[in-house]
Amino acid sequence: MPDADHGQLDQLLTRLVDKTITVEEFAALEVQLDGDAHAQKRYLHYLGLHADLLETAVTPESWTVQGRGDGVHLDRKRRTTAWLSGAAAALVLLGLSGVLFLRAPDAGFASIVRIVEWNGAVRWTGDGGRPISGLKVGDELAGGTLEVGAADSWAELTFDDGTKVWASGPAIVTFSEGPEGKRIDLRQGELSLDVAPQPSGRPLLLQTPSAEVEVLGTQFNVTADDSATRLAVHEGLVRVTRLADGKTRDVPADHHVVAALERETDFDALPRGESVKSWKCDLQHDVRQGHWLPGGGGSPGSLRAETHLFRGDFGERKDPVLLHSVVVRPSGSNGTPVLLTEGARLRVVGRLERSCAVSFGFGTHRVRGALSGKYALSRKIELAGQEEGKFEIELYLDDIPRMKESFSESPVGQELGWMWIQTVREDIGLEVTSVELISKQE
Amino acid sequence: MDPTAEFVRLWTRHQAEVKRYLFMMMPRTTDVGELLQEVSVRIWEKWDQFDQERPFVPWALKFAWFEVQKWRQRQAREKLVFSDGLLEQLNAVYENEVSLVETRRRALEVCLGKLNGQERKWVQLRYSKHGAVKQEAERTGVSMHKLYYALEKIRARLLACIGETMRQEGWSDA
Repeated sequence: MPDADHGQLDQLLTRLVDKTITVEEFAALEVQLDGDAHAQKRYLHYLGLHADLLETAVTPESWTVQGRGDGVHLDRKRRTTAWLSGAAAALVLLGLSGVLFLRAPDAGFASIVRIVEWNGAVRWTGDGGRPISGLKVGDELAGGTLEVGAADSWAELTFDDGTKVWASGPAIVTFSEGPEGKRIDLRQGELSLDVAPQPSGRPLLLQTPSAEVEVLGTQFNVTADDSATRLAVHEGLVRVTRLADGKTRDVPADHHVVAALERETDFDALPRGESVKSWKCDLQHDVRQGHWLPGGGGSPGSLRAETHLFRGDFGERKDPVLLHSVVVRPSGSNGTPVLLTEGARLRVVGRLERSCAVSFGFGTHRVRGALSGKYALSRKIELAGQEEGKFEIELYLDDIPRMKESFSESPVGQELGWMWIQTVREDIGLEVTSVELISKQE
Repeated sequence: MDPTAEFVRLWTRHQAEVKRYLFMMMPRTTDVGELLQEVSVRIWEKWDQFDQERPFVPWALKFAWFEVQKWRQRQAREKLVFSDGLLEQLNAVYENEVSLVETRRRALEVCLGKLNGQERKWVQLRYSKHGAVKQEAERTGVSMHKLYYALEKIRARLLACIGETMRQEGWSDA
């Protein structure tokens, strides 16, 4: 069929993919398609084209002309999507495998840690790689790997000597203990540790992808990802080795250090700055979870929600649920703490493809101390009348409830640890363009 | 190969095609993501029945079609949903089209390279950044309606070009 004959059908298809089609137009489209194989083929080709263009995200970089000069690279986003899909598929498998291979808490192994508290998307894989189900507070476990899947989830564990570890999601951390001492491998995420005095010559060893930390007894918080480790010491002294070059630094109380894989970054223990009451997030550098999208043409950059799988609480939930999250935290190079004060509010600006419920939350540290609380709420974001899916919301700290009664009722007086913005199940195209903490005086 | 690893490999590689199929069957719903999860679970449950000598996508689409039918039953009162009869017709046509998806995508790469600078810019605005079309309309003073009309024409040109490119490659029913 000549293209000219598709005029009316194409108009309807345009309105369909641009999401402006009315009920009457949709009915007209159905009439055109019903029983007409040519029109059905056009429909499939049209929507396929739209899907390909969406899938491949035609960015300025992707307009690079290839080889003979007549083609365009389109695989940038597809690769990312495939990677995410692969991760999701692997996690789906892990979740499903968890259903198939669940077993009771460790029997026959010497326990080294005990569960004090946990909440949300938390999972434990014991020795032998088997997921363990039905865990509860007080269970004692042999070595294994703790996964805290979502930003609003956490787990607190203690070693036999009273050493406390608080893992906050998203995090993956492995615990072991042997004749050489305790060992913690933090592959990614945030830990807060209150380490009891360790036997002479047997320090607790904390390993991350970029650093090794020797601890004899202290309180400190550590955040790690694939490329850098940030560590803030509140009490005592730790020795940090930067794996990139083997250099070491002793980090005393009230100091912080960054050990990055690229060696140009300063690797000095610096005093933590005075706390501030306001904070404007540097999205590109403060991100813990999310994909940075550079701005252009006067538009600001943004963080696109990263998809990950919620596999249930200790494997008890059978249906995997996708979360789409942006997680940020203050990570200023001077380690300046951000204090939550009376009357302060959080302002979040972003974009969505349509109206939906969005969860907002944050975690806190005690001043110069360990993880202390999590606060969260969900708000329906109505886009009616908003410019191109843009939303802006302000949340007063005192209106955001604690997630557990053991936390302080109000976060005021604590330090901001990190903040998350997320949607559940559906990917609504959440993008965050600005996050601010605004004090009452402003 | 280990069956689990094989599942991950194939699902990772072809998940986008299943999602694309679901989008075509239910273009005005936001349930695609949820159904995609359901499809992955159903496929995994039946994974021991998959004949590795046969192509994965047609097999996976049978599970997707089953989920579409179940979803359709739950949407009895919805107005922006195709009828059972039309869905069956589209499913039948898609079965004949599925083997050409990758070929069409390659042809699209060639055809995008043939757009002029202004056309490329509009496509980029529409598909790379949420809200960029409106911003461009405001910046240039060109009406949104005009920009979307231009995009409609560009899509039609791209489709014609894809068909022509495929015919040149020997695909007779492009």
